Amino acid sequence: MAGKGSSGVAGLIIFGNIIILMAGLALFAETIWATTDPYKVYSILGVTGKDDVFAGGWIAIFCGFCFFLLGIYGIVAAIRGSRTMVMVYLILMLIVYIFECASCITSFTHRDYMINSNVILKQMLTYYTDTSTAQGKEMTQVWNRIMLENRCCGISGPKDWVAYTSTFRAQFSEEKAPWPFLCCKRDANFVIVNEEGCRVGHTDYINTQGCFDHISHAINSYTWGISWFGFAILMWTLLVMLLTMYYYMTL
Amino acid sequence: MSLLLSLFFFGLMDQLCTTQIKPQIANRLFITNNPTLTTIALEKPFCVFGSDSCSGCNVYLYGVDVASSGLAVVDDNGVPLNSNFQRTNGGRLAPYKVASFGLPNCKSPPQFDNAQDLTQIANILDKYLVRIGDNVTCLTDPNYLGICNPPLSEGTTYRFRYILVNSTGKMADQTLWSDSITTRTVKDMSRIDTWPGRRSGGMIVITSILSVLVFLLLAAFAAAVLTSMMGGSPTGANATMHESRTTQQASSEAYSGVLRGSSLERERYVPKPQA
Repeated sequence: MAGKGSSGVAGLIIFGNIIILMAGLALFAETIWATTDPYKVYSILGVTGKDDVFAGGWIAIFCGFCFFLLGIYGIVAAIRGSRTMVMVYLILMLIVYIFECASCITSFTHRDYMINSNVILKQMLTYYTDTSTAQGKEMTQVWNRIMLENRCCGISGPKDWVAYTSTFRAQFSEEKAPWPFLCCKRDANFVIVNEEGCRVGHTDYINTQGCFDHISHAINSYTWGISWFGFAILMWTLLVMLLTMYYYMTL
Repeated sequence: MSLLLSLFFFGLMDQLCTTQIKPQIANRLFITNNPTLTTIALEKPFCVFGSDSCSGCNVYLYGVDVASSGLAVVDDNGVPLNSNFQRTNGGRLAPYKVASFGLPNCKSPPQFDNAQDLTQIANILDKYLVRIGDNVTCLTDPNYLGICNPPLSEGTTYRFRYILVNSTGKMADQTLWSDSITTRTVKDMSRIDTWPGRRSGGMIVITSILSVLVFLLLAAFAAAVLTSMMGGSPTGANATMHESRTTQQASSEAYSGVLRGSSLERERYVPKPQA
């Protein structure tokens, strides 16, 4: 084998590719989790048109699986020591690498738009209880569910509903419903504990906590999974690819 | 919190100097949404008017826009004026009668500690609060006969005063005018600034590092391809026949690759001994 590529380097490449294929599989699984949207916040991003956090997720699904396959292929190529196979490996890996970079950057850039409570606040005030548009119906449902399930109210608290004009305010007078009754504390059967107490804003009968924490936590979880995990894989892949290029030259 | 409220409340009870007391806005820790756009919640006057011995007494609440010039709530004979919201143009011309209720019982003030008790909360709120601007329909209902308490104007400043009316219908006592209380103003939602502002550090790190890495990788790839192309094909027939020469060639190729490659490659490759 003298001169035909060092077996030590080939060993390192095989080890690197084992890590890549495992990490690729993990990325695949993780981004499937993100794109299925278990926190159900997709509509909030979709209505704003900044849903590319999920676009990044879809690209990462593809890239994760490619990393898995290419990892296997890379191991075979390193064992066989074939110049052609290594070259094909390098070209395919470069393509996947660039796609995965795009996924990381897209996802994180669009996260920055949405981790801004004002964007979500404006959206909530515009669409909540708006029954004339499809977005309005969708957002009403989303907000009803978020407020009910997370026992929160508005973006930063009930004050959001009274501080701004909104579609909701245009439909319900402030004396009767200063905020949606989904902001009221409810018992185990989701029955409002006390309507009058909720209406005047008694702290024992209203959820004073805002929902922004829940939404930003969801978006951040997705983005961290897609972007930072992808980024870590890319750092590792870089080393393996440089080593493979060196290996290619020695073949 | 309830303890705080109670302390505050009993603090009020101590200074029983009737005429020096002003109506108080309901505690904002207890009632978070106060004042609102169109309503103001006040505490009822507990233990403000001296004794409880007054039978058949009533408390009237008057409200007035601070811009109003007149402040009289009783006529020359001490009889409370029967002014209403419509005639005073919502308190802009003179004080109007907001509400009337029995004298709150000084001996049994509301127990805020019990506010979590569902059977008592409605009673406590009713006992403790008088909500100005609570009645949305009375202005438009032609059959409404009582004292109309319609919604206030938003962003307007008001003052309030309680007076005690005895059974003969004359004023027996009164509080001072309250501090001015301004209803909220509403902000237009279309003016919410949605500019994302500064980029997050993570986004800058990811974007810049990945761009540089892709460039490095492409440069290294080009270098590797060019190097092996210029060095000819070491796997050709030549190489098998002259193995010792090929070895030399391969190693010199590796070195030229090092020289052509980027600094990052150099750091990586130089310390590694050739096999």
